[in-house]
Formats: sequence, C-alpha cells, structure tokens
Amino acid sequence: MAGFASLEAERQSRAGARVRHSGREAWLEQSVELNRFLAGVERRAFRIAEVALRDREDALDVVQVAMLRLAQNYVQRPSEEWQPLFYRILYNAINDCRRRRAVRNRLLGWLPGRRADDESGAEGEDPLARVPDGAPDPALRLMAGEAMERLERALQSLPARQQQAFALRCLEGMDVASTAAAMRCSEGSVKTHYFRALQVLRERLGEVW
Amino acid sequence: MEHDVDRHERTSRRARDVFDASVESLDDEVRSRLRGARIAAVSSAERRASRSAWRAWVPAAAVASAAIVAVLLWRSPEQLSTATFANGSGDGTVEAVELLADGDDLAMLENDLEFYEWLDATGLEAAGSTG
Repeated sequence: MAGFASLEAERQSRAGARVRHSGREAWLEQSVELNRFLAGVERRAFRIAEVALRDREDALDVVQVAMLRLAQNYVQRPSEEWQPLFYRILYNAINDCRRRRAVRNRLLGWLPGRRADDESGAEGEDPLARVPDGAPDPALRLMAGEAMERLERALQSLPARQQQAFALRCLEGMDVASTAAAMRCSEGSVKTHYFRALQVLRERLGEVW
Repeated sequence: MEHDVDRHERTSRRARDVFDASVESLDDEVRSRLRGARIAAVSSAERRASRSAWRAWVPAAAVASAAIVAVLLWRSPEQLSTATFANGSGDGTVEAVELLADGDDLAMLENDLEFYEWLDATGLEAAGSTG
C-alpha cells in the first residue's frame, strides 16, 4: 500500500513538472512571438505617432506606453488580435497626449511673455534635421524627405478620425475589420473616413505628387 | 468613376511608398530607443506572468485553509465529548458541572459535612444494590 502511494506521489510529481515545463515553454513561445510582433510594428507605429503628434519625443513616449500596455494587459489574447489592440492603445495614448498638450497650452496662454505652443513647433525646425539618415543616395533622401513632409502636412490637415483611418488602412495596411476594431467603430464608418481622407489627400497633394 | 478609383489607388500606393521609405530611414537613435522600449515591454510581460502564476495559487490555498479550519472546528467538540464519556466517569463529570453551575447548592455543600457523609453512604449503598 505504501509502495503504491509512493508510486502515485511520484507520478503526480512528474505530471506537475511536465505541466510547469510546458507552461514555461508556452510562455517562452509567447514571449518570442510578442517580441517579433512589436519589432514588426514599432517603427511604423512611431512614424504614425510622429505624424499625429508632430513631436519625436511624444511619439516615442506613446509608442512605449502602447507596447507596455499591450504586453501587460493583452498578451494572453490570441496574437491575431494584437495588431488592432496595439493601435487602439496607441491612438488612446495619442489622444491622451493631445489632451495634456491642450491643457498645458491653455495654462501657458495665461502666463505673460509666454506664447502657447500652437502645435506648429515642428515648423521652426531646421528642415535638414528632418531629412532621414541611412538612405543610400542624398538626392533620393532629400526627395523622399520632401515627399514625406508634404504627406505629413496633408495628413495633419485631416480630421483625427480620417487621419486614423488612412494611417491604419493605407500606411499600416490593415484590413477594414481590423481597422474598425482598432478605431472602435463600424466597418462602414472606416470606409467612409478612409474614402474622405483619400479625397482630401488627392486634392492637397495634387496629381503630380 | 473608374478613373477616380484609379487615382485613389495611385494616391494610396504613393503614400504607402513614401511612408515606407521614411520608416526605413529612421535614425539609429530612434531605432535604439524603440528596441529598448520593446525589451522593457516584453520583460514586464514576463514579470507579470510569473506574478500571476504565483497569485493563481492564493485563492486555492485560502479555500484549502478555510476548509481545514472548518473541519477542525466541526470535529473538535465531538471528539472532546467522546473522550470525556469514554473514560467511565462521564456521569460524575456531568453532575459536577451541573453542581458547579448552580451557585446556591454549592454554598450549601461547603458548610454541611453531614451532607457529605450522607452522600458517601448513599453512594456505597447504591453501589451495593446494583453490584
């Protein structure tokens, strides 16, 4: 009887170890997958945030916030849901940042001798500083930089929802359903926002762009 | 209409190409900071997962502890009374408890030696008649 009990205890111990081992393996796989997903979206998310906020530091902050929130709160969800979830979190962080900035500007507007940041801080920058590094040909870099600047200006003139629909559908390449999930609206709304955004961009950028 | 669709398609394709080029040409500092943010996010997820695994046992341990306490409380009075009556002096114990509970009788017994003698004799007689 005692021998049977010890055998049973050993069997249970092995089963527990197997469960712990498989749980650890599952977590490692999930961790690798999360890292791969974030590596795939981080640069594009940064550029989308930078276009939306017109500020490099703020864009880095909101991308970091989105990564952390996704990793801490939604990593257990199926990985197919990560992309719309990530962009929903990112746009929530962007909206929070815009609200903070608006409050700060309102407060600064009351101070004598201070001009509130009218969200045109990027205009005072040296244009050469915005030319991206790493491109093989400086002439191509300059052309790409100019084209991107024109696109950024056109995007910034769009209403927030149209800008969001265009960024997710066109720039990030998400389908209508995922974009609707990220924007928390219907697929019909996504199509409407995207179509209007395209119309405005085509008018602003011109036929030769 | 076909023409509009084509133009929309061309605009979106051009925008995507320009955007992709700007993403590819991000400078090293931004890439490095994004990489750092990613590593921090993955690590925080791992820490949270390990904490969650530990915390998953807390409700089970609490339920098990409560069950053990409940069983002990339920079993203990029964075991105590069983042990008391099992040693053959159960009736005497019950009587003693009844006497102690009655304050007036106790005062009377303390001052009456004759009563003790009577009680002793009565007990012996009762034992003789039953035995």
